[in-house]
Amino acid sequence: MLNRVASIALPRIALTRRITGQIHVESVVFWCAIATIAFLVLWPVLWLVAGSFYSNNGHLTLQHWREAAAAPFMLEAIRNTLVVSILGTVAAVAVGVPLAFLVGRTDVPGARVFEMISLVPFITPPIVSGVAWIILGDREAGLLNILLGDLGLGHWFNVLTLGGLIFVSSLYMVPFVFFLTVGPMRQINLELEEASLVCGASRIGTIFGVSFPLLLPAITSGALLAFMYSNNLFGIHAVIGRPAGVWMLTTAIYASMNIMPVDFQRAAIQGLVLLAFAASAIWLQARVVRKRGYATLTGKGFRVERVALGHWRWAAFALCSFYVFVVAVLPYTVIILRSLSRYSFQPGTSWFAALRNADFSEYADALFYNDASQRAITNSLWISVIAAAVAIGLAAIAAYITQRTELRGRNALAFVCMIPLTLPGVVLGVAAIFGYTTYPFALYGTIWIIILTYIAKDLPLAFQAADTSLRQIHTELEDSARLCGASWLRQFLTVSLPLARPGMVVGFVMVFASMTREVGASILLFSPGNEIFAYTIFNAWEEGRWQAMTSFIVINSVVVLACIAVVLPLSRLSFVNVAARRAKASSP
Amino acid sequence: MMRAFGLVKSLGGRIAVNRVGLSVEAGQFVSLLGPSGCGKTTTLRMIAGLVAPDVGEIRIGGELVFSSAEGINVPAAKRNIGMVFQSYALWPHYTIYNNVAYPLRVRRLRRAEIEDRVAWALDLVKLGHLRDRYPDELSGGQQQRIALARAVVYSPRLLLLDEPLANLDARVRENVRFEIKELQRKAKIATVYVTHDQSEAMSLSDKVVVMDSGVIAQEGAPGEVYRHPTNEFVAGFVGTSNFIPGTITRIVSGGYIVRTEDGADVSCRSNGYRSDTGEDVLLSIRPEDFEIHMVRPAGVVNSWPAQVIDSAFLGNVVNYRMRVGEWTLQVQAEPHVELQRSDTSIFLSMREERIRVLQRAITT
Repeated sequence: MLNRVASIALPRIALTRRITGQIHVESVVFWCAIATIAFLVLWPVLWLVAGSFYSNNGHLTLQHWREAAAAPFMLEAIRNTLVVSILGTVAAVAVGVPLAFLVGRTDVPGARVFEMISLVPFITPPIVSGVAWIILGDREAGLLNILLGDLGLGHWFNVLTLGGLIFVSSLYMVPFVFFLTVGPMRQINLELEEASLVCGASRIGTIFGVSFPLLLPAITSGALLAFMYSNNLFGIHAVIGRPAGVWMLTTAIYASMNIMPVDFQRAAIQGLVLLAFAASAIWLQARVVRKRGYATLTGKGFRVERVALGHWRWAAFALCSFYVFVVAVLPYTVIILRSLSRYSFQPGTSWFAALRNADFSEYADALFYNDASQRAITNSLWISVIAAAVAIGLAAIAAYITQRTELRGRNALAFVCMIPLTLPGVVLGVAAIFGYTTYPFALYGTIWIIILTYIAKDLPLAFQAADTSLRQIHTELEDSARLCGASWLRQFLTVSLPLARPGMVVGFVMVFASMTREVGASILLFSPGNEIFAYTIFNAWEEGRWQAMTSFIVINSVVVLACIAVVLPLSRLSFVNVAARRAKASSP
Repeated sequence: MMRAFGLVKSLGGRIAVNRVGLSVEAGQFVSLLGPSGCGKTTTLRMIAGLVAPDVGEIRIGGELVFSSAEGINVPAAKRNIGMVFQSYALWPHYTIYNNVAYPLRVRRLRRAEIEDRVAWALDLVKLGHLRDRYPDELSGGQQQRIALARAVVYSPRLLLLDEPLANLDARVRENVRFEIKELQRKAKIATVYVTHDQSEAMSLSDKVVVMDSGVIAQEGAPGEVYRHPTNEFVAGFVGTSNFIPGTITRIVSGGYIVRTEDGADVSCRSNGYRSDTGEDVLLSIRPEDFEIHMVRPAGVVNSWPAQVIDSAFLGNVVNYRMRVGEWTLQVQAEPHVELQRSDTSIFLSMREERIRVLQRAITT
């Protein structure tokens, strides 16, 4: 006992003394990555905060905060933002949880396919969904209303309202609830439920008494994430909210930056309000997860027992199909239809008439004649490729540092990587304008401001992808390389990287896709000559060129999907497959 | 061959290893034995260079590889040590050949020499025919033997094994255990072996080092540690022991008379334990060291009437729980001894020299 007390007082050797004299490759790599991440994330955010306190001639002042509080649309925008996020979250939970149950725990036909298709909103730019639903649900020219009108049922839908805004937003929020619930739903220890049944509880009683409370942390997490993400839906807020006269904080920020007189400070303050919303959601989520934990759920392979639905299988199937139809099939169908039609749809036009008189002029124009849209395609692609590669590279090193080293402050590094989660694109755009136009940077008007902002924006996504794929590599695989005499660099290149590649490639694709659909930051940061997709689409919408806009959307989607199709096989061409192929070849 | 002095390591605010010293002679097989969390794996990882001790000094083959006082820390890659991990740690993207060749390529050996060496190492574990397979095509036992081949292929100065058998099935475990012993003998390599399984440690080692809560509880040859545990932890962890608390009442020639708490006098040898009358001690006796009598034995010291509580038939032995006075004792008997709960005239006796007198841990 005495020994133990005495040894606590013994000094620890400092890191610097451990690395005597020589500089290691790994410390150079580590510190470069740390410095880059800290700069990319913290510099713009600091300027966003500072900017709200500086007047145009450089004095510290609280005046902007007072003015912002009194500004005409400010309170209205805050109220609308909260209403849309909260009601949208409620709707997302109401749809996402039952869907997760059907797909994860019942024998509904085609569960795997449904699970994949529910990803569609993740890879669809919000603006696309907004546009699609206007085409479908416009009070006069909406296809659904025309359909009902032709049947003599009158016009039922009007998307250009607060309700429509909530509806379209919630379609985007469902996947968060769905994907955070479906995993735990599968991993729930069946014995806990069986114990309840054996104790004499009914099926329904078990669901509400045992299963639901166990899933509550997961559902809450998903709901808070959805709540947070709702402010990333600038595309929807703009195309539906503005014509509907519903001001949101995101659109208010865009207005502060674009309507004369431009008010940078107000934009910064509005952005900080959004940041506060997101930060409180994260704080709540951390509390929920910490308090309830996942102790009752285990990752171990319990047998998955699916609830047999009997005849209800097909009802469930119809329900899932309807969801897929609403989020994936319908929007893309009408976008394609609209891109082929010179005029907006009129009562009496059949959908097939639109196809018969298909007009490809806008495609031809965008692809062959219009310099700006051609530039937008190439710019968007190479910006996103570079930014995604840098983001995933930085994230890989950051994940390596947090998991595999004893570096002090490594948890702070993980935290910094996640900060942009609280910054909707449009806010990050404002922050970038503050951060990269001031001395010593003059990046505004160049393509670099977009690249830097994209990297920061998707660092959380990249970090999580890298973190997960690195976590799956047992440390002993790396340790054994070191013991075999390999230097850090050699170990990293010959063991860590090849093993992490499949996960990293998937991460790259996710980040790339996310960047190509970014609108909020892009429309603030683009400059003539540096057009990108998002701007082209948004600009066409502002000018009311619907056919051109929908054509751009289709081209964008096809190009992005083609890129994903090219890159994704890299993740599958892994040793596991090689080994499996060899095994198959050697067996007769 | 390897000497470690005063190793201290705290992990997460807790002292995981506290002033541990360890020495391994050339060709010697040393086991670190202890329950999980006792610091044995941390000690091994400090020797390997995967964890830097807070304080201490490590020498391998005379070379100082770590010293907190002099600020020396030779990285793992430069220590020329072979290590086998619990999870095998074979790289799934390399063939068996490339796995074993990796350390040789790192050392920039000529191609022909790499061929020869890998062939030698694979022959050593009798798996030469699997050289072009991938790790996931092999069984657990085969993977572990490949890991062994990879660890010895470059003739390291020291071989470290971190619970190499923990993930294997019981039967495979036995085979690989012999394989390890044979390989170690053939390659004449100094080895440190970490395990929580006392039968592995006993059967493999020249020396067993028992660890408990970050400190070394006892070290010595396997038989020595088993027969003469020096404290309660070792007596209880290495094999099974019955513990009977008591107080020394008399010193007789070569031993003590100890009065137990329920008033019985036990006569025992001191076995090197120096003490004085009035001291509280703990008597420790192995289940197999009891003698069972069906009638009251005459002229036998330390014998008491006993009653069977229950029994467990294990095939080669029978384990009984018996009540003697106020104690419940575990007694092991040969399988042909059949005792019933109704037997009323059972007597247990303990030979004086089989009883260990241990210091009683201060519990208040």
